[in-house]
Amino acid sequence: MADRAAPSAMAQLVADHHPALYRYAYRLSGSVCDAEDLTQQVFLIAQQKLGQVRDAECVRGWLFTVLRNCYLKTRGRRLALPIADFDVGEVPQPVPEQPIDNDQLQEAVNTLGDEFKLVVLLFYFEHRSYREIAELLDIPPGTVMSRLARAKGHLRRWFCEPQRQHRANGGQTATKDPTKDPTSAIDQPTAIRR
Amino acid sequence: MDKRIRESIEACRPGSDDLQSPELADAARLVEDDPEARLAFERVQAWDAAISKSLDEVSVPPGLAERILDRLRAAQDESAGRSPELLAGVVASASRTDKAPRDAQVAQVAPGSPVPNRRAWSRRHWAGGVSLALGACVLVIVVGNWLRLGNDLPLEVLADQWREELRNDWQIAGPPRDFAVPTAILVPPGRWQQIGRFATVPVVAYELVHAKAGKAMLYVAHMTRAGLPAAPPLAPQSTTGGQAVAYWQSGSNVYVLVVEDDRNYGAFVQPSTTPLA
Repeated sequence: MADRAAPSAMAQLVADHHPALYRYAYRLSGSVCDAEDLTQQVFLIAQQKLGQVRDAECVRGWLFTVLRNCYLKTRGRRLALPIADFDVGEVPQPVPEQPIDNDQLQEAVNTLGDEFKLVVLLFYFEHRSYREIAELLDIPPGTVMSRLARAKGHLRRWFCEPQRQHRANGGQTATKDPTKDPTSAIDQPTAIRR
Repeated sequence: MDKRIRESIEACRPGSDDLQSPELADAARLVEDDPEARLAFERVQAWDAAISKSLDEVSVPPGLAERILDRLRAAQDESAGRSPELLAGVVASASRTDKAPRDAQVAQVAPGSPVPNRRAWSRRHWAGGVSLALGACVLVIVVGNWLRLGNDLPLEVLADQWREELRNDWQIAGPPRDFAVPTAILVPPGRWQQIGRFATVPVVAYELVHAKAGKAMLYVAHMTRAGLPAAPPLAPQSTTGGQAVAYWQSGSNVYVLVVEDDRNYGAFVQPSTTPLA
Protein backbone atom coordinates (compact mmCIF):
# COMPACT_ATOMS: atom_id res chain seq x y z
CA MET A 1 0.00 0.00 0.00
CA ALA A 2 2.94 2.28 0.59
CA ASP A 3 3.63 2.19 -3.11
CA ARG A 4 0.17 3.37 -4.04
CA ALA A 5 0.20 6.66 -5.94
CA ALA A 6 -1.87 9.60 -4.71
CA PRO A 7 -5.02 10.35 -6.77
CA SER A 8 -3.84 13.78 -7.85
CA ALA A 9 -0.49 12.36 -8.94
CA MET A 10 -2.31 9.69 -10.89
CA ALA A 11 -4.54 12.25 -12.59
CA GLN A 12 -1.46 14.16 -13.65
CA LEU A 13 0.24 10.99 -14.80
CA VAL A 14 -2.77 10.02 -16.89
CA ALA A 15 -2.98 13.49 -18.40
CA ASP A 16 0.72 13.50 -19.28
CA HIS A 17 1.18 10.02 -20.64
CA HIS A 18 -2.07 8.46 -21.81
CA PRO A 19 -1.86 9.71 -25.42
CA ALA A 20 1.63 8.31 -26.00
CA LEU A 21 0.81 5.06 -24.23
CA TYR A 22 -2.39 4.63 -26.19
CA ARG A 23 -0.57 5.20 -29.48
CA TYR A 24 2.08 2.71 -28.54
CA ALA A 25 -0.54 0.19 -27.41
CA TYR A 26 -2.41 0.63 -30.66
CA ARG A 27 0.69 0.04 -32.73
CA LEU A 28 1.51 -3.05 -30.70
CA SER A 29 -1.94 -4.60 -30.65
CA GLY A 30 -3.37 -3.24 -33.89
CA SER A 31 -6.77 -2.88 -32.23
CA VAL A 32 -8.55 0.14 -30.79
CA CYS A 33 -10.23 -1.90 -28.04
CA ASP A 34 -7.10 -3.79 -27.06
CA ALA A 35 -5.12 -0.56 -27.06
CA GLU A 36 -7.55 1.06 -24.66
CA ASP A 37 -7.57 -2.00 -22.40
CA LEU A 38 -3.79 -2.10 -22.38
CA THR A 39 -3.56 1.60 -21.57
CA GLN A 40 -5.97 1.16 -18.68
CA GLN A 41 -4.04 -1.84 -17.38
CA VAL A 42 -0.83 0.17 -17.39
CA PHE A 43 -2.34 2.88 -15.22
CA LEU A 44 -3.91 0.32 -12.89
CA ILE A 45 -0.45 -1.14 -12.34
CA ALA A 46 1.03 2.33 -12.03
CA GLN A 47 -1.50 3.14 -9.32
CA GLN A 48 -0.22 0.19 -7.30
CA LYS A 49 3.48 0.36 -8.02
CA LEU A 50 4.46 3.79 -9.16
CA GLY A 51 6.14 4.39 -5.82
CA GLN A 52 8.80 1.93 -6.90
CA VAL A 53 10.04 4.38 -9.51
CA ARG A 54 12.58 6.55 -7.79
CA ASP A 55 13.55 8.87 -10.62
CA ALA A 56 10.71 10.98 -12.02
CA GLU A 57 12.48 11.18 -15.36
CA CYS A 58 12.25 7.41 -15.68
CA VAL A 59 8.47 7.32 -15.38
CA ARG A 60 7.78 7.41 -19.10
CA GLY A 61 10.19 4.56 -19.78
CA TRP A 62 8.77 2.59 -16.87
CA LEU A 63 5.21 3.03 -18.17
CA PHE A 64 6.26 1.89 -21.64
CA THR A 65 7.94 -1.16 -20.14
CA VAL A 66 4.81 -2.02 -18.19
CA LEU A 67 2.80 -1.65 -21.37
CA ARG A 68 5.14 -3.95 -23.27
CA ASN A 69 4.89 -6.57 -20.54
CA CYS A 70 1.11 -6.30 -20.38
CA TYR A 71 0.95 -6.74 -24.13
CA LEU A 72 3.14 -9.82 -24.07
CA LYS A 73 1.09 -11.32 -21.24
CA THR A 74 -2.19 -10.84 -23.03
CA ARG A 75 -0.73 -12.01 -26.27
CA GLY A 76 1.14 -15.12 -25.17
CA ARG A 77 4.39 -16.04 -26.78
CA ARG A 78 4.36 -15.81 -30.52
CA LEU A 79 7.23 -16.82 -32.65
CA ALA A 80 7.74 -15.88 -36.24
CA LEU A 81 8.20 -18.63 -38.72
CA PRO A 82 11.70 -18.93 -40.15
CA ILE A 83 12.41 -15.86 -42.19
CA ALA A 84 14.53 -15.32 -45.22
CA ASP A 85 17.76 -13.47 -44.78
CA PHE A 86 17.62 -9.94 -46.04
CA ASP A 87 19.42 -8.88 -49.14
CA VAL A 88 22.34 -6.64 -48.26
CA GLY A 89 23.35 -5.89 -51.79
CA GLU A 90 20.64 -3.44 -52.70
CA VAL A 91 20.02 0.15 -51.76
CA PRO A 92 16.47 0.81 -50.48
CA GLN A 93 14.09 2.49 -52.87
CA PRO A 94 13.39 6.18 -52.25
CA VAL A 95 10.57 7.13 -49.92
CA PRO A 96 7.34 7.56 -51.91
CA GLU A 97 6.33 11.15 -52.51
CA GLN A 98 2.86 10.72 -51.06
CA PRO A 99 2.63 10.42 -47.26
CA ILE A 100 2.74 6.94 -45.79
CA ASP A 101 -0.75 5.59 -45.34
CA ASN A 102 -1.40 5.02 -41.67
CA ASP A 103 -3.66 1.99 -42.07
CA GLN A 104 -1.25 0.34 -44.47
CA LEU A 105 1.55 0.93 -42.01
CA GLN A 106 -0.46 -0.73 -39.25
CA GLU A 107 -1.21 -3.67 -41.54
CA ALA A 108 2.49 -4.05 -42.14
CA VAL A 109 3.29 -3.84 -38.42
CA ASN A 110 0.60 -6.44 -37.70
CA THR A 111 2.37 -8.94 -39.93
CA LEU A 112 5.54 -8.80 -37.84
CA GLY A 113 6.18 -11.44 -35.21
CA ASP A 114 6.41 -10.03 -31.69
CA GLU A 115 10.17 -10.33 -31.51
CA PHE A 116 10.42 -8.06 -34.56
CA LYS A 117 7.57 -5.79 -33.60
CA LEU A 118 8.96 -5.04 -30.15
CA VAL A 119 12.37 -4.19 -31.52
CA VAL A 120 11.09 -2.00 -34.31
CA LEU A 121 8.65 -0.11 -32.07
CA LEU A 122 11.31 0.47 -29.44
CA PHE A 123 13.40 1.94 -32.22
CA TYR A 124 10.74 4.07 -33.88
CA PHE A 125 8.43 4.82 -30.98
CA GLU A 126 10.66 5.08 -27.98
CA HIS A 127 13.65 6.23 -30.04
CA ARG A 128 15.89 3.73 -28.30
CA SER A 129 19.35 2.88 -29.61
CA TYR A 130 20.08 -0.70 -30.56
CA ARG A 131 22.22 -1.04 -27.42
CA GLU A 132 19.37 0.14 -25.21
CA ILE A 133 16.97 -2.21 -26.98
CA ALA A 134 19.36 -5.09 -26.37
CA GLU A 135 19.48 -4.27 -22.65
CA LEU A 136 15.73 -3.81 -22.36
CA LEU A 137 14.88 -7.06 -24.10
CA ASP A 138 17.90 -8.92 -22.74
CA ILE A 139 19.10 -10.06 -26.13
CA PRO A 140 22.50 -9.63 -27.79
CA PRO A 141 23.04 -6.33 -29.67
CA GLY A 142 23.79 -8.28 -32.84
CA THR A 143 20.37 -9.91 -32.68
CA VAL A 144 18.76 -6.49 -32.27
CA MET A 145 20.61 -5.17 -35.32
CA SER A 146 19.59 -8.15 -37.37
CA ARG A 147 15.94 -7.99 -36.32
CA LEU A 148 15.82 -4.25 -36.87
CA ALA A 149 17.24 -4.53 -40.37
CA ARG A 150 14.86 -7.27 -41.36
CA ALA A 151 11.77 -5.72 -39.80
CA LYS A 152 12.49 -2.30 -41.26
CA GLY A 153 13.10 -3.82 -44.64
CA HIS A 154 9.79 -5.62 -44.36
CA LEU A 155 7.95 -2.38 -43.58
CA ARG A 156 9.60 -0.56 -46.48
CA ARG A 157 8.83 -3.36 -48.84
CA TRP A 158 5.20 -3.24 -47.81
CA PHE A 159 4.97 0.15 -49.48
CA CYS A 160 7.05 -0.79 -52.47
CA GLU A 161 5.18 -3.96 -53.39
CA PRO A 162 1.46 -3.50 -53.94
CA GLN A 163 1.16 -7.21 -54.76
CA ARG A 164 2.29 -8.10 -51.27
CA GLN A 165 -0.44 -6.02 -49.66
CA HIS A 166 -2.98 -7.58 -51.99
CA ARG A 167 -1.90 -11.06 -50.95
CA ALA A 168 -2.06 -10.14 -47.27
CA ASN A 169 -5.55 -8.79 -47.76
CA GLY A 170 -6.79 -12.11 -49.08
CA GLY A 171 -6.21 -11.47 -52.73
CA GLN A 172 -4.57 -13.59 -55.37
CA THR A 173 -1.10 -14.99 -54.99
CA ALA A 174 1.61 -12.44 -55.53
CA THR A 175 3.92 -12.97 -58.43
CA LYS A 176 6.79 -10.84 -57.26
CA ASP A 177 10.04 -12.68 -56.76
CA PRO A 178 11.04 -12.17 -53.11
CA THR A 179 14.71 -12.58 -53.93
CA LYS A 180 14.52 -9.31 -55.86
CA ASP A 181 13.41 -7.42 -52.82
CA PRO A 182 14.93 -3.97 -52.91
CA THR A 183 15.02 -3.49 -49.19
CA SER A 184 14.81 -6.67 -47.18
CA ALA A 185 12.58 -9.62 -46.63
CA ILE A 186 10.37 -11.28 -44.11
CA ASP A 187 8.82 -13.95 -46.19
CA GLN A 188 6.36 -15.35 -43.70
CA PRO A 189 4.16 -12.63 -42.34
CA THR A 190 2.16 -15.01 -40.19
CA ALA A 191 3.28 -16.19 -36.81
CA ILE A 192 2.78 -19.42 -34.96
CA ARG A 193 1.56 -19.54 -31.41
CA ARG A 194 3.42 -21.69 -28.96
CA MET B 1 28.56 -3.48 -48.62
CA ASP B 2 28.43 -6.55 -46.38
CA LYS B 3 25.64 -7.55 -44.08
CA ARG B 4 27.30 -6.21 -40.93
CA ILE B 5 27.69 -2.74 -42.47
CA ARG B 6 24.13 -2.76 -43.71
CA GLU B 7 22.80 -3.77 -40.29
CA SER B 8 24.87 -0.99 -38.71
CA ILE B 9 23.31 1.52 -41.09
CA GLU B 10 19.86 0.21 -40.22
CA ALA B 11 20.63 0.54 -36.49
CA CYS B 12 21.15 4.32 -36.68
CA ARG B 13 18.18 6.27 -35.42
CA PRO B 14 16.89 8.97 -37.78
CA GLY B 15 18.53 12.33 -37.19
CA SER B 16 20.84 10.96 -34.51
CA ASP B 17 24.62 10.78 -34.33
CA ASP B 18 24.52 7.03 -33.78
CA LEU B 19 26.83 6.53 -36.75
CA GLN B 20 29.59 8.31 -34.84
CA SER B 21 29.64 5.72 -32.07
CA PRO B 22 32.86 3.65 -31.96
CA GLU B 23 30.99 0.36 -32.51
CA LEU B 24 29.75 1.60 -35.87
CA ALA B 25 33.06 3.07 -37.01
CA ASP B 26 33.35 0.66 -39.97
CA ALA B 27 29.94 1.69 -41.23
CA ALA B 28 30.73 5.39 -40.72
CA ARG B 29 33.90 5.05 -42.79
CA LEU B 30 32.06 3.31 -45.60
CA VAL B 31 29.24 5.85 -45.61
CA GLU B 32 31.92 8.52 -45.89
CA ASP B 33 33.86 6.87 -48.71
CA ASP B 34 31.43 4.75 -50.68
CA PRO B 35 28.65 6.48 -52.67
CA GLU B 36 26.44 3.38 -52.60
CA ALA B 37 26.72 3.11 -48.82
CA ARG B 38 26.01 6.82 -48.49
CA LEU B 39 22.93 6.51 -50.67
CA ALA B 40 21.73 3.52 -48.63
CA PHE B 41 22.28 5.44 -45.40
CA GLU B 42 20.41 8.49 -46.69
CA ARG B 43 17.48 6.44 -47.93
CA VAL B 44 17.24 4.38 -44.77
CA GLN B 45 17.25 7.59 -42.73
CA ALA B 46 14.56 9.10 -44.93
CA TRP B 47 12.39 5.99 -44.60
CA ASP B 48 12.93 5.93 -40.85
CA ALA B 49 11.89 9.55 -40.47
CA ALA B 50 8.75 8.98 -42.56
CA ILE B 51 7.77 5.76 -40.77
CA SER B 52 8.52 7.19 -37.34
CA LYS B 53 6.32 10.21 -38.06
CA SER B 54 3.53 8.07 -39.41
CA LEU B 55 3.63 5.65 -36.47
CA ASP B 56 3.02 8.56 -34.15
CA GLU B 57 -0.11 9.61 -36.02
CA VAL B 58 -2.75 7.74 -34.07
CA SER B 59 -5.79 9.61 -32.86
CA VAL B 60 -6.57 9.04 -29.21
CA PRO B 61 -10.24 8.13 -28.53
CA PRO B 62 -12.12 11.05 -26.97
CA GLY B 63 -12.72 10.69 -23.26
CA LEU B 64 -10.00 8.09 -22.76
CA ALA B 65 -8.38 9.95 -19.86
CA GLU B 66 -11.71 10.17 -18.03
CA ARG B 67 -12.39 6.48 -18.54
CA ILE B 68 -8.96 5.62 -17.21
CA LEU B 69 -9.48 7.79 -14.14
CA ASP B 70 -12.93 6.24 -13.58
CA ARG B 71 -11.42 2.80 -13.68
CA LEU B 72 -8.62 3.80 -11.32
CA ARG B 73 -11.12 5.19 -8.83
CA ALA B 74 -13.22 2.06 -9.10
CA ALA B 75 -10.20 -0.15 -8.58
CA GLN B 76 -9.26 1.81 -5.46
CA ASP B 77 -12.76 1.43 -4.12
CA GLU B 78 -12.69 -2.26 -4.93
CA SER B 79 -9.50 -2.81 -3.00
CA ALA B 80 -10.90 -0.83 -0.08
CA GLY B 81 -13.99 -3.08 -0.03
CA ARG B 82 -16.39 -0.22 -0.62
CA SER B 83 -19.15 0.52 -3.09
CA PRO B 84 -20.36 -2.81 -4.52
CA GLU B 85 -22.06 -0.87 -7.31
CA LEU B 86 -18.76 0.46 -8.51
CA LEU B 87 -17.23 -2.97 -8.12
CA ALA B 88 -19.85 -4.36 -10.45
CA GLY B 89 -19.01 -1.64 -12.89
CA VAL B 90 -15.35 -2.56 -12.77
CA VAL B 91 -16.10 -6.22 -13.37
CA ALA B 92 -18.26 -5.33 -16.33
CA SER B 93 -15.64 -2.98 -17.65
CA ALA B 94 -12.78 -5.42 -17.19
CA SER B 95 -14.60 -8.25 -18.95
CA ARG B 96 -15.50 -6.10 -21.92
CA THR B 97 -14.53 -7.77 -25.16
CA ASP B 98 -17.03 -6.31 -27.58
CA LYS B 99 -16.64 -3.20 -29.61
CA ALA B 100 -19.60 -1.36 -28.19
CA PRO B 101 -19.56 2.42 -28.31
CA ARG B 102 -17.41 4.00 -25.65
CA ASP B 103 -20.31 5.90 -24.14
CA ALA B 104 -22.05 2.63 -23.36
CA GLN B 105 -18.95 1.36 -21.63
CA VAL B 106 -18.72 4.46 -19.51
CA ALA B 107 -22.35 3.96 -18.52
CA GLN B 108 -21.46 0.47 -17.27
CA VAL B 109 -19.02 1.93 -14.79
CA ALA B 110 -21.39 4.56 -13.51
CA PRO B 111 -22.61 4.28 -9.93
CA GLY B 112 -25.99 2.66 -9.63
CA SER B 113 -25.33 -0.15 -12.09
CA PRO B 114 -27.15 -3.33 -11.13
CA VAL B 115 -25.16 -5.81 -9.07
CA PRO B 116 -25.21 -9.35 -10.48
CA ASN B 117 -27.25 -11.64 -8.20
CA ARG B 118 -25.94 -14.91 -6.75
CA ARG B 119 -27.84 -17.06 -9.23
CA ALA B 120 -26.26 -15.27 -12.18
CA TRP B 121 -22.85 -15.69 -10.66
CA SER B 122 -23.52 -19.39 -10.14
CA ARG B 123 -24.43 -19.85 -13.81
CA ARG B 124 -21.33 -17.95 -14.71
CA HIS B 125 -19.22 -20.25 -12.60
CA TRP B 126 -20.71 -23.31 -14.32
CA ALA B 127 -20.00 -21.78 -17.69
CA GLY B 128 -16.49 -20.95 -16.51
CA GLY B 129 -15.90 -24.56 -15.47
CA VAL B 130 -17.03 -25.94 -18.80
CA SER B 131 -14.90 -23.35 -20.63
CA LEU B 132 -11.93 -24.33 -18.49
CA ALA B 133 -12.34 -28.01 -19.36
CA LEU B 134 -12.66 -27.20 -23.06
CA GLY B 135 -9.66 -24.92 -22.78
CA ALA B 136 -7.63 -27.72 -21.23
CA CYS B 137 -8.47 -30.02 -24.15
CA VAL B 138 -7.48 -27.33 -26.65
CA LEU B 139 -4.28 -26.73 -24.71
CA VAL B 140 -3.32 -30.40 -24.94
CA ILE B 141 -3.82 -30.30 -28.71
CA VAL B 142 -1.95 -27.03 -29.11
CA VAL B 143 0.97 -28.19 -26.97
CA GLY B 144 1.10 -31.44 -28.91
CA ASN B 145 1.21 -29.51 -32.17
CA TRP B 146 3.80 -27.17 -30.80
CA LEU B 147 6.07 -29.99 -29.77
CA ARG B 148 5.80 -31.47 -33.22
CA LEU B 149 6.37 -28.06 -34.85
CA GLY B 150 9.24 -27.28 -32.52
CA ASN B 151 11.04 -30.38 -33.66
CA ASP B 152 10.69 -29.25 -37.26
CA LEU B 153 12.04 -25.75 -36.69
CA PRO B 154 15.54 -24.81 -37.86
CA LEU B 155 18.09 -25.10 -35.10
CA GLU B 156 18.80 -21.35 -35.22
CA VAL B 157 15.15 -20.71 -34.37
CA LEU B 158 15.13 -23.41 -31.68
CA ALA B 159 18.24 -21.88 -30.14
CA ASP B 160 16.44 -18.55 -30.08
CA GLN B 161 13.51 -20.18 -28.26
CA TRP B 162 15.78 -21.93 -25.80
CA ARG B 163 17.54 -18.67 -25.03
CA GLU B 164 14.19 -17.10 -24.20
CA GLU B 165 13.42 -19.97 -21.84
CA LEU B 166 16.53 -19.29 -19.77
CA ARG B 167 15.75 -18.25 -16.22
CA ASN B 168 17.82 -17.01 -13.36
CA ASP B 169 18.15 -20.58 -12.17
CA TRP B 170 21.74 -21.51 -12.92
CA GLN B 171 23.55 -24.49 -11.46
CA ILE B 172 27.28 -24.60 -10.88
CA ALA B 173 28.04 -28.19 -9.96
CA GLY B 174 26.99 -31.57 -11.24
CA PRO B 175 26.09 -31.11 -14.90
CA PRO B 176 23.81 -33.94 -16.04
CA ARG B 177 25.66 -37.03 -17.22
CA ASP B 178 23.74 -37.48 -20.47
CA PHE B 179 24.40 -33.90 -21.54
CA ALA B 180 28.17 -33.83 -21.33
CA VAL B 181 30.05 -30.95 -22.90
CA PRO B 182 32.00 -32.27 -25.90
CA THR B 183 35.77 -32.14 -25.83
CA ALA B 184 35.74 -29.89 -28.88
CA ILE B 185 34.44 -27.04 -26.73
CA LEU B 186 37.51 -25.06 -25.72
CA VAL B 187 35.98 -22.94 -22.95
CA PRO B 188 34.89 -24.76 -19.80
CA PRO B 189 31.28 -23.96 -18.95
CA GLY B 190 30.78 -21.66 -15.98
CA ARG B 191 27.22 -22.68 -15.19
CA TRP B 192 24.30 -24.59 -16.65
CA GLN B 193 20.56 -25.02 -16.45
CA GLN B 194 17.97 -27.38 -17.80
CA ILE B 195 15.35 -25.90 -20.07
CA GLY B 196 12.40 -27.24 -21.99
CA ARG B 197 11.30 -29.29 -18.99
CA PHE B 198 7.78 -29.63 -20.32
CA ALA B 199 8.87 -30.47 -23.85
CA THR B 200 9.64 -33.89 -25.23
CA VAL B 201 13.12 -32.67 -26.05
CA PRO B 202 15.14 -32.11 -22.89
CA VAL B 203 17.79 -29.48 -23.31
CA VAL B 204 20.67 -28.33 -21.14
CA ALA B 205 22.14 -24.88 -21.68
CA TYR B 206 25.74 -24.17 -20.75
CA GLU B 207 27.08 -20.65 -20.45
CA LEU B 208 30.60 -20.27 -21.78
CA VAL B 209 32.52 -17.13 -20.91
CA HIS B 210 35.85 -16.37 -22.53
CA ALA B 211 38.01 -13.61 -21.04
CA LYS B 212 38.65 -11.99 -24.42
CA ALA B 213 36.12 -13.53 -26.80
CA GLY B 214 32.99 -12.75 -24.80
CA LYS B 215 30.08 -15.08 -24.25
CA ALA B 216 28.58 -18.11 -25.92
CA MET B 217 25.83 -20.58 -25.13
CA LEU B 218 26.03 -24.29 -25.79
CA TYR B 219 22.72 -26.11 -25.98
CA VAL B 220 22.75 -29.88 -25.71
CA ALA B 221 19.46 -31.41 -26.78
CA HIS B 222 18.43 -35.06 -26.68
CA MET B 223 17.20 -35.28 -30.23
CA THR B 224 18.13 -36.53 -33.65
CA ARG B 225 18.33 -34.42 -36.78
CA ALA B 226 19.20 -35.88 -40.16
CA GLY B 227 21.90 -34.22 -42.22
CA LEU B 228 23.89 -32.63 -39.44
CA PRO B 229 27.68 -32.87 -39.37
CA ALA B 230 29.14 -35.27 -36.82
CA ALA B 231 31.51 -32.64 -35.44
CA PRO B 232 31.64 -28.86 -35.07
CA PRO B 233 31.88 -27.36 -38.55
CA LEU B 234 34.89 -25.31 -39.62
CA ALA B 235 32.62 -22.29 -40.07
CA PRO B 236 29.28 -21.71 -38.29
CA GLN B 237 26.17 -22.53 -40.32
CA SER B 238 24.70 -19.09 -39.58
CA THR B 239 26.17 -15.66 -38.79
CA THR B 240 23.02 -13.58 -38.90
CA GLY B 241 23.16 -10.46 -36.78
CA GLY B 242 26.86 -10.91 -36.07
CA GLN B 243 26.00 -13.98 -34.01
CA ALA B 244 27.50 -17.35 -34.94
CA VAL B 245 25.32 -20.44 -34.72
CA ALA B 246 26.88 -23.85 -35.31
CA TYR B 247 25.33 -27.26 -34.79
CA TRP B 248 26.25 -30.88 -35.08
CA GLN B 249 24.96 -34.30 -34.04
CA SER B 250 26.87 -36.69 -31.87
CA GLY B 251 25.24 -39.84 -30.57
CA SER B 252 21.76 -39.07 -29.35
CA ASN B 253 22.52 -35.38 -28.78
CA VAL B 254 22.33 -32.35 -31.01
CA TYR B 255 24.79 -29.63 -30.00
CA VAL B 256 24.00 -26.01 -30.84
CA LEU B 257 26.70 -23.45 -30.15
CA VAL B 258 25.69 -19.78 -30.23
CA VAL B 259 28.60 -17.34 -30.07
CA GLU B 260 27.58 -13.74 -29.47
CA ASP B 261 30.28 -12.36 -31.75
CA ASP B 262 30.73 -14.46 -34.85
CA ARG B 263 34.36 -13.35 -35.20
CA ASN B 264 35.18 -15.26 -32.02
CA TYR B 265 33.74 -18.59 -33.12
CA GLY B 266 37.19 -20.21 -33.18
CA ALA B 267 37.87 -19.24 -29.58
CA PHE B 268 35.05 -21.46 -28.33
CA VAL B 269 35.26 -24.57 -30.42
CA GLN B 270 37.85 -26.74 -32.07
CA PRO B 271 36.41 -27.92 -35.38
CA SER B 272 37.14 -31.58 -35.87
CA THR B 273 36.48 -34.29 -38.40
CA THR B 274 36.38 -37.05 -35.81
CA PRO B 275 33.22 -37.88 -33.89
CA LEU B 276 32.88 -36.16 -30.56
CA ALA B 277 33.12 -37.80 -27.19
